[in-house]
Amino acid sequence: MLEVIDDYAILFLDRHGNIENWNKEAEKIKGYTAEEIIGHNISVFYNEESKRNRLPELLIEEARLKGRAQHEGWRIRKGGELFWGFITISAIYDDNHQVVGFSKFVRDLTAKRQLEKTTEEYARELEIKNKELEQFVYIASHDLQEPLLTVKNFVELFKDEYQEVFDDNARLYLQFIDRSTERMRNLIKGLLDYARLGGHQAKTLVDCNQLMESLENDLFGSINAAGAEIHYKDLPIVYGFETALRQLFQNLLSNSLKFKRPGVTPQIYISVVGNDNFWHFEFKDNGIGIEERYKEKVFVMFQRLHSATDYEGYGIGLSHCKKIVELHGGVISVESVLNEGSTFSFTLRV
Amino acid sequence: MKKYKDLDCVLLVDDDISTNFIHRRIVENAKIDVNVKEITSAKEALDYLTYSGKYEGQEDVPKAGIVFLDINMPGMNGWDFIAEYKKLDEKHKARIVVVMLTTSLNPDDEQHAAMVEEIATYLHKPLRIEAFAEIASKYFEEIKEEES
Repeated sequence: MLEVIDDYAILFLDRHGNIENWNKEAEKIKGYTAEEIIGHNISVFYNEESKRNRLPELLIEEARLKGRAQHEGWRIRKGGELFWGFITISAIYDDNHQVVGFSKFVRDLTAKRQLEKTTEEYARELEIKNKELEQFVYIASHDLQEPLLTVKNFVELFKDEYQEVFDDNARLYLQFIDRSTERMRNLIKGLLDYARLGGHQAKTLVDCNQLMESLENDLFGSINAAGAEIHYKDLPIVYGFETALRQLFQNLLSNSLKFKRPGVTPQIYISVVGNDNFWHFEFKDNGIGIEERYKEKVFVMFQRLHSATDYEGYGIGLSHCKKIVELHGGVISVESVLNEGSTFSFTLRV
Repeated sequence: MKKYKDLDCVLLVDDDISTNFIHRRIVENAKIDVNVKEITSAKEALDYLTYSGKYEGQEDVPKAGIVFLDINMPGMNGWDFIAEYKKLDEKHKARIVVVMLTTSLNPDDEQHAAMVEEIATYLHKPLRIEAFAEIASKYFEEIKEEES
């Protein structure tokens, strides 16, 4: 019967760990034929270091005392090749409860081990790369701020001290410089904020009803100006980064107000359904909508669909939304019909 | 002032008004007799070339000879413009030279541009007087006026 059990090398050992019986799978895993190995001690499967540490003896000793010993580690095949073995040694007793020998089960987990190792290494590399990237954005944007500030300061000085000598043309040039530096300042700030999102914060329970109420308060001016009606009820309490979630809600809300259709009262509906794993949120509006082909592009940093003269902005809000949702283990997407409205859907892990 | 055959107008397509402003100055300083039209979106540029949208029925607008095209624009970008431009009727594209102008440091963009037949050349911003003069003389025939 021992001959037909696959995957497991099954050995019987005497009281000292010498091999008495050997199955086919053992031959496959360890490379020795029964004739070659019977009578040898199990220490032949161990490398020098393990032998020095008396690992084979210690395992036999443990099995003798406790009835069973388990170990996972590198073992040596015939010819010196290594394999990752998972072994279980169990004591065999006679009628007087004396240990007369041991059974030893060995599984070759080399493939599994290598997969684990590759995954581990990949995860570690990814983590390092992410850290580097974060640092890069952080440092780059800090260093970009400085010369920009200098430009801004000197433009101010020009305006103050040379007011009279400037003609209309010169004033126009200054205006271009002014607007560009202001734009650059905002782009860098957006980049910096992006890198900072969710960092150094603890998750808390966030009541989305309260969140919406306070947002409606903060955005009262623009909600009123747009004449918008916002509908929601019984929003959940979610576990997450409060400041980031607030920003997510605020960006979606502000977008619906900003991209309203002229002459149409903005109607914004917020709804949520939950299951065991996720809350599914929907922010639905009746605004200008988004062309199908730009559905992905809107979430990319600095990507805009409209010229600055039509709608002001920097192409930052939705890229932040995407990162915030992803920080909460969710995904965000948009469905839209041009000139009818957009529905932004996102999930947050429960 | 030099004058080139079929080069009636230079179309500047860039969403950034100040960039268009600078480029207008450069074209004007090149001592070439040509109109300059600034446009801030790729969509409007297509409309201009095909006399549609706000240019409907305005076949008398100067016909573009050179289009300086920005890559990174909101909504329809420079590449999207090229994709639409390819589909245009030959009569709208005739004798038009498209030049990609960009601040992009991405080498992929330059490679991409080299592979697109419709793009005559690829330049980094800002446009220079010499570069503009070179393009004009390379792609257009100078009209020599009789000394008077």
